[in-house]
Amino acid sequence: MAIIVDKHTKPGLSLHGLGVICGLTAAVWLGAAEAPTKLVTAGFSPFAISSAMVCGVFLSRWTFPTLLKGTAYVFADLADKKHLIIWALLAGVLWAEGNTLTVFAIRDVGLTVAFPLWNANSLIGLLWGRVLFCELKGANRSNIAKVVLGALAIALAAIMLGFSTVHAGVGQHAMRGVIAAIGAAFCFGTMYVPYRKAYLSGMNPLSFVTAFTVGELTTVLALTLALDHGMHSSAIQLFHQPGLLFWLFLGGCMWVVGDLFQQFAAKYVGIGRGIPLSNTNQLWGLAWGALVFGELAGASHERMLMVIGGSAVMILGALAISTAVASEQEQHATDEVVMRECERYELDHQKVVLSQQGDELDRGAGARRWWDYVIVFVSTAIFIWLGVRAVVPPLQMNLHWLAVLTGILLLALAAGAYYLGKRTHFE
Amino acid sequence: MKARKAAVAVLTDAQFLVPFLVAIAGAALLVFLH
Repeated sequence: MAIIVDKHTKPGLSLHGLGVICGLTAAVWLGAAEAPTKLVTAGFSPFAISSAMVCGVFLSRWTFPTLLKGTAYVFADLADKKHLIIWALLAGVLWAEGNTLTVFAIRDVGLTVAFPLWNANSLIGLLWGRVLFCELKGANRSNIAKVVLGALAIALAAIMLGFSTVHAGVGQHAMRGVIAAIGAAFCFGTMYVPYRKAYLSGMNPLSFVTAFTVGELTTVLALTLALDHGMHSSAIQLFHQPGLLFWLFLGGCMWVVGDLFQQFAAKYVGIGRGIPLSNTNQLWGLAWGALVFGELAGASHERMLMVIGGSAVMILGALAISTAVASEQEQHATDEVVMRECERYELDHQKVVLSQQGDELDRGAGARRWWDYVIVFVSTAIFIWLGVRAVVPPLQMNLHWLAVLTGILLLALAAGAYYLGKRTHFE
Repeated sequence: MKARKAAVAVLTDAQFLVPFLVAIAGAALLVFLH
């Protein structure tokens, strides 16, 4: 109990505050990750784009944990909680399935119909958080209202922003597309169950994503081969074009940075609060599309109203969730869930509780090995090799806004990394 | 915790059923849509 008391009295930034910062930083980076992929305009299949991006993700997912903690730390953490490896692989499979289902949904009903449906993932995450991990249990009415209404507001705002940017018609197989979009929402919303499970058991998010990405890459490549003309897939052709590949790898790398912060948000504020916060990425995606790529040029008065209204509703939703600090009763419910995990999987309760606060007993474990430097060097070299061959297509871009949004991106990264490093040493 | 014991604990964990069944349903849906 002394440890739990310490958790609430530790000076400095609160864990709730840290989780909110991580969720908002995740949104900035996840929203920007789409921007480089806009530069790949040639007619590749969505499977090809997705698999190339996931290869960039795989490369980055091994680089960042190695850079921050070293592989010895990551493998020691995985070995210590080996029952979570299957959960991480399963989460990767769910992401890949959800992503492929969005491809089907867009093809059959267009983004306007598909997007609102799969964006319901945050509400599904909220449901699983409550049912499986007792999130919001014991919370006062004000906090429940803030989280539920905040999540609904963010989902509604994302729909408004989605409608403002896309104008695709409904295809021939409307019902099939709707089913695919609902399936994607379930896959994405359920993917957060393993996330939360891992963090309640004291696993470091950096270790979790290292295993997660194996399930993700394997499933994406298998689905590309199975559903996109096998060895004749345009993905094969894409991998022979380093000039284009760089942009997809860059998008994947930026997505990884966003996802890492999303993982820390899920750890420190739970999935009910963390997912809606990171889902505000739609706002940043729109900012990049509208301000840098001029996607709203000549937009009607109605569309502009939808953009302004959607942005305002999203900010209000994020504000509501950010101020819903978990009460003592809610913390107690979480402590009971942690105790259940410790009993079931024979985990060291003291270590797990400390890990919940971003502190670890064996922080010194896992010194860097020579192969850590090799991993970082090889992945950096691949990015540089692709980067010098990158071809910028003749797209009109507003360089002023490109500089402003890149500045915000770096500022968010610096702030997020500073607070995460200072408060938890990335744990 | 031994690997075998961990496997049994995971497979009998009701929480595991949720993502596992959704993953199976997702795979079945993909095959159906394809």
